[in-house]
Amino acid sequence: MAATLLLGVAAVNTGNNLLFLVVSAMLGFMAVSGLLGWLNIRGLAVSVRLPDEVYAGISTQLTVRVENRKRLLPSFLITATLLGHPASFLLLDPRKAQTGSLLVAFPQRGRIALPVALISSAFPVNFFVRNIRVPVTGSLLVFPAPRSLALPAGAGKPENGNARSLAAPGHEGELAKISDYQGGESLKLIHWRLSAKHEDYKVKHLTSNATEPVLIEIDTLPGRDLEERLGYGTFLVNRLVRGGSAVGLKLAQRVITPAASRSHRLKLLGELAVYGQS
Amino acid sequence: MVRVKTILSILTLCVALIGYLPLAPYLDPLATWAFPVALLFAWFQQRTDRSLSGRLLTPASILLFLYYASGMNRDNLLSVTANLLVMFLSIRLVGEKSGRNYLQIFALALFCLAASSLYNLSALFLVYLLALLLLLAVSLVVLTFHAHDAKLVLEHRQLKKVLGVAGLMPVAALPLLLVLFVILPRTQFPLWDFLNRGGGNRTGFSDTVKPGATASVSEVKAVVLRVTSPKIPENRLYWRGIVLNALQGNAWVRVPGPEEHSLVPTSGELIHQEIYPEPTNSPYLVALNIPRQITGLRTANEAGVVFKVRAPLEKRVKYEAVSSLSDLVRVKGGIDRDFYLQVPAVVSPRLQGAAREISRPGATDVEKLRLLERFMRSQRISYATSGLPVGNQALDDFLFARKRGNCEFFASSSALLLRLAGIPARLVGGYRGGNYNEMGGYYQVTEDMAHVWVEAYLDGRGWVTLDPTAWSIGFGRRAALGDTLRMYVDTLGFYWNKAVITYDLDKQISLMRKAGGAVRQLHLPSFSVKGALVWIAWLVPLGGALLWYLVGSVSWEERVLRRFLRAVARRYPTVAAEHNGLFDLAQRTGDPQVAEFAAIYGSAIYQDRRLEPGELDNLKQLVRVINQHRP
Repeated sequence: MAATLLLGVAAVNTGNNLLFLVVSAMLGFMAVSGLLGWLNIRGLAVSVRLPDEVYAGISTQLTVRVENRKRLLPSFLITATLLGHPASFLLLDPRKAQTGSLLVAFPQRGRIALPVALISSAFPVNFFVRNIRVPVTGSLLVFPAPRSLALPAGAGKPENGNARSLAAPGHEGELAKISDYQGGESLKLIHWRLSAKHEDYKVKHLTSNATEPVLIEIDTLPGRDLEERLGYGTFLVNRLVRGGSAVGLKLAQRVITPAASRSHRLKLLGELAVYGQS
Repeated sequence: MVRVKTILSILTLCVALIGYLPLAPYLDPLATWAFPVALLFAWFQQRTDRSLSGRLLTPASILLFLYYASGMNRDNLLSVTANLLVMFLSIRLVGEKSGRNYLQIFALALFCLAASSLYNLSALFLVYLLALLLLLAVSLVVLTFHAHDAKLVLEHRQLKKVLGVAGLMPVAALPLLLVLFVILPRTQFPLWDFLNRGGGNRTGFSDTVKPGATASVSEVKAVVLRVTSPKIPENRLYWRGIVLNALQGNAWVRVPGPEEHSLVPTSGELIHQEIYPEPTNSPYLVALNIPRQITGLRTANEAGVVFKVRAPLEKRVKYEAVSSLSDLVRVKGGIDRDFYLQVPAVVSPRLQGAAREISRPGATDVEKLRLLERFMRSQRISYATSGLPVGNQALDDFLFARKRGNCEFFASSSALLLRLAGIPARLVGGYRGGNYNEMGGYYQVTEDMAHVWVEAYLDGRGWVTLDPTAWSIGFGRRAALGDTLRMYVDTLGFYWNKAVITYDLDKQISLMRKAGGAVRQLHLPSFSVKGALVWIAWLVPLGGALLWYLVGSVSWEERVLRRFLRAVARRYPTVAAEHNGLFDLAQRTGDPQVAEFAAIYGSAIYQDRRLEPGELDNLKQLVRVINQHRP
């Protein structure tokens, strides 16, 4: 820029048309490089693939996908910045997409709308960095940061949970043995198919479930404030469900019945994430 | 895989070289040699990834600056600047290279090229400029990648794309360059002119003719001027520059003579010319003999139809002239005969004898001219540019002994004989001949065409043109300048001067005026309602069709599907074609053609690929069949 101005002054002073030619060339080049830089960051779409579990305060890897929707022009040296974390792309071919990953930590729990992504590039000439904001669709549920808590002895610990469950008979566990109908068993336990082959009714004897269902009552958990209690709650939900226990939640107004599946765990964590938020 | 740093280093060396080359002929020996050495050194450094420390180079730069600055004065400012630029460029090449250093090298190379334009205005500059523009664009882009990551390695595929897009920039910048060149603001006069004192080759004819001064005349083929004009008969190609009106010893010179009111007759054919002289040391303007008027420069008309500018034409300029193809200059009120009859104190007896022969008693002036021609021809003198007579008696020697000489001898001796015979005479200096460039429509006049001829004053008529050299043996047009290639190159040079070098504020203004005038003259054709309606009737559907084509244009797949659905809807009105899937449609209609269509179309679409031409033809054929078998 300074060189162009200097040569411009020299051209006017000397009246030398060749200097005018040099100045014209430089100005033309500046204009074209500006246009190219403008085009370089246009026509880009950003999307983010989110992991199922994102906890507040814990670094999570997000996958950023940047698609160059231009027909012909590649985009060079693109940096997509999301939540202050950059992901770099050297070259985005036209009509193609590339993915990059970011390590992001969300400070707060709750539902978070994804912010706009800042697309920036110094291309073609490293004098200016141009940027543009691109909306990223979608929202994200950030679970409370888990806080570890000492569990009551034997409560859903994965290492001894199964061993303990074998002892007691129950109504929901695995088939332990089949015996004759004694008269007091529940009709539900009669093995009809087997009974048809024999003269007597046969009854299934089931073991009890691995662990007792657990209902976590958030308000009674230890912790100085709600956030701490939610942290403990998160920890408990994860630990207990992974240990095979059916876990339910008792929130202020409602109760979620216990279950032990992964989707149930995520549902519980989701409830904890938005608990107390309007 | 290619390292970005390697590409950048090589590009930088090329950029520096292009900055240096145009400036090289004008540098001191130190700078001339320092640069190639630095370039070689930098090449090896690039291969070994080493560089000299700034602690060494910064003091060296300061010392060099002091060395050159100490010898600087007002007149060598440009030379000092040019040398310093090249020295700094050399030092930068061998030093450490950060992003900033690369930019410094680019800027210095650009300044070197700019400085060369103050020395030389040739068209080669454009070649250098375009090359530098291309290389700079690519280098700056690669530098951006280097700044992103200095250790970046690019795949060949990526490199190709980067270089392709980078190379696109100067190409796209070219039209802008042309527009900006035309509209950039200019002043009529330079604000400070010191930078233009550089130089450049200067040519010009001498304002003294002294036969006998040298034994040979060098024939330089350098271009002196280019003149756009229609083609003119060869024997009329005399370019008038100066009139030498007095004899001082053996030399013909121009002195402030008596006033005379010259009239160029309008009887001859008038030729308009645009004249582009090369920079010259002479203040006299050249135009086709005999010029009536010269415009485009501030000139002073001097006696003898001579046009003079105040200062020599050191810069490239252009002027226009109108000449009359005549060999007569009338003089209103007559001339000072005594002034034009002066002869040297000492004239050889043989010359005096020849003069007596010409001035026979009772002979008229016209007869005297004829006698002069007869005398000169009878001497059988050869035209030559070497082995010329020398010394004080050169003219005598020329006419009677050696009998060889160039135009200066013929003209000087003839004019002297005329004066001795009582006819006022003077020499006219300029050029004779010219290479007509058919492509450019202009004459190219070279240094070796410099010529001197004679004007004799005949009472009642005026100054009559005589070319005594034509009476020699062997004078004629010398070998033509030559080959077509040279003419092509010269055409380029001519247009370069015409379009670029002499482009100025006046042209800008006239261009703007023309543009303004064109806009003002723009008017709508006379309006008629009927005509307009006819036009609208044509244009509206045309525009609609165009709009439909542009906005509603759909792929071949979609088109053929639409046609298919229309055909099915017509053939099976009870089946709602548009609301069913293709296979569903096939099932409902039970039509084998529909089923086949669904199979072909589905196989392509559900595999997410486009239809092949063969498949498309099949589908069209099926649609035709469905249409034909309408119930």
